[in-house]
Amino acid sequence: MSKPKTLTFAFMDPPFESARTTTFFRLLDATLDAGANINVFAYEGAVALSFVHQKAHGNTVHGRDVEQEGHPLSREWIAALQHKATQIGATFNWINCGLCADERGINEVIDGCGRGSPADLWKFAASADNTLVIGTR
Amino acid sequence: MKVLQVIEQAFRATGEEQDDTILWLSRSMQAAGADFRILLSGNAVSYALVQKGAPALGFGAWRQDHPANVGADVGELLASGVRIDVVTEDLAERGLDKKQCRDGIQRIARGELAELYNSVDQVWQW
Amino acid sequence: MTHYMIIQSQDPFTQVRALQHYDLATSLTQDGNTVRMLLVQDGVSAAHRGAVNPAFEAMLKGGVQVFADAYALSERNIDSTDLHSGIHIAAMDLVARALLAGDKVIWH
Repeated sequence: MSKPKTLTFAFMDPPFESARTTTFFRLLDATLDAGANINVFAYEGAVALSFVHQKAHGNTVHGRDVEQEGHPLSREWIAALQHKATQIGATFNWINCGLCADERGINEVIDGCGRGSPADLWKFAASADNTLVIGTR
Repeated sequence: MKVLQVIEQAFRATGEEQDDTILWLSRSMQAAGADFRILLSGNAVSYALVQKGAPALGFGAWRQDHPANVGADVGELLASGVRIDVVTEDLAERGLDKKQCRDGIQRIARGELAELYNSVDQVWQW
Repeated sequence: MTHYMIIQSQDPFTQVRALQHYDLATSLTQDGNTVRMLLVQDGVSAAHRGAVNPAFEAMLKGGVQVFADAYALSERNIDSTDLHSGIHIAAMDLVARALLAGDKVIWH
C-alpha cells in the first residue's frame, strides 16, 4: 500500500466574508475523500476560522431560533474535518499565523489548531507533495 | 523547491500592517530556507517603482511611528538575492512603463510568463 | 510538458484581471502545456451560453479545458444546457486530484 500523500494549503480569508471560505472547505473535504493528509497555514483574517468563541445565533428575519437556525460556524467545520481525518487515518494539521492572531486578539482557538509563522508555511510546503495558495481579494 | 510568488495586489492593508503582508511573508519564509522568486503583476507593479515609505497615519491624537516602507522591503529582498520581475504590459496599462524601475528589477513581457511559470516547481498566486 | 489546473474565482465582468488570467491560461496551452480551468464562485458567470466575453471565448477555442463548479452553478440556477459548448461540470475533487497528481495548481 502506497504512503498517503500530503497537501499544503495557505488560506487568508476570515469567516463570513467571502465565497472563497466555503470553496476552500469543500476542497479540504474532497482532499480527505481522496485519502490525503492536510496541512493548513491560516494567514491574516483566516486565523479567525478556528476562534473558539464563535457563537451561533438565531435569526428573526428567518423566523428561526438558535437551534432551528443551526448557523454555520467555521470552527465546527474545522472540527468536523479533524474528526473525518482521524476516522480515515489521515493527518490534519492547522497552524495559525501567530502575529496575525495577536493583532486581532484571536488567540483562543479550538483544539488541534496551533500557532506558528510563515516559516511553518515553508516547512509544510517543503514536506508536502503539493501546495495551493488561496490569496484574499 | 523553487516557488514563484505572484503578487497582484498593492497597498492592501499596508497602513495597518506597516508592510505589504506578502513581501513580509516572503522575507519571513527566507529564515526557513525558502527558495523563491517574485513576480509583480497587476497593481503590484507599483512596487517596482516605489523608493520611499508611505505617509504616517494619524487619527485623533494617535500617530503612526513606523509607516510601511515598501521600497525598503523590496530593496531588502533584492539585496538578499531574490529575483524580482515586473510585467511590462501591466506597467504600460497604468502609464508607468516610461518610469525607471528600481535597480535589480527585471521587466518581463506577458508572452514570456509561460516560460517563467514552467521554470519553477510551484506558483503561489497571492 | 507541465499540467496546470487553474481555479478561476474571478469573473470578467466585474474583475478585469480575469481577462489576464484567461490570456495566461491560453498562453500556457500554446507553450505546450495541458491546462485545465475550474470556474468557481462568480467565475462561473462567464460559462453561461448567453454570456458575451471575447477573451473567455478565445480561451475556450484556444485549447484550455474548462470546467464549471457544480455547486456554484446550482447556486445560480445554471444547468448543463445553459453552458457554452465544451464546458464540463465538475466538483472540488477535480482540484484535489490535480494537486495529488502533481499539477501546478493556481488560484485566481
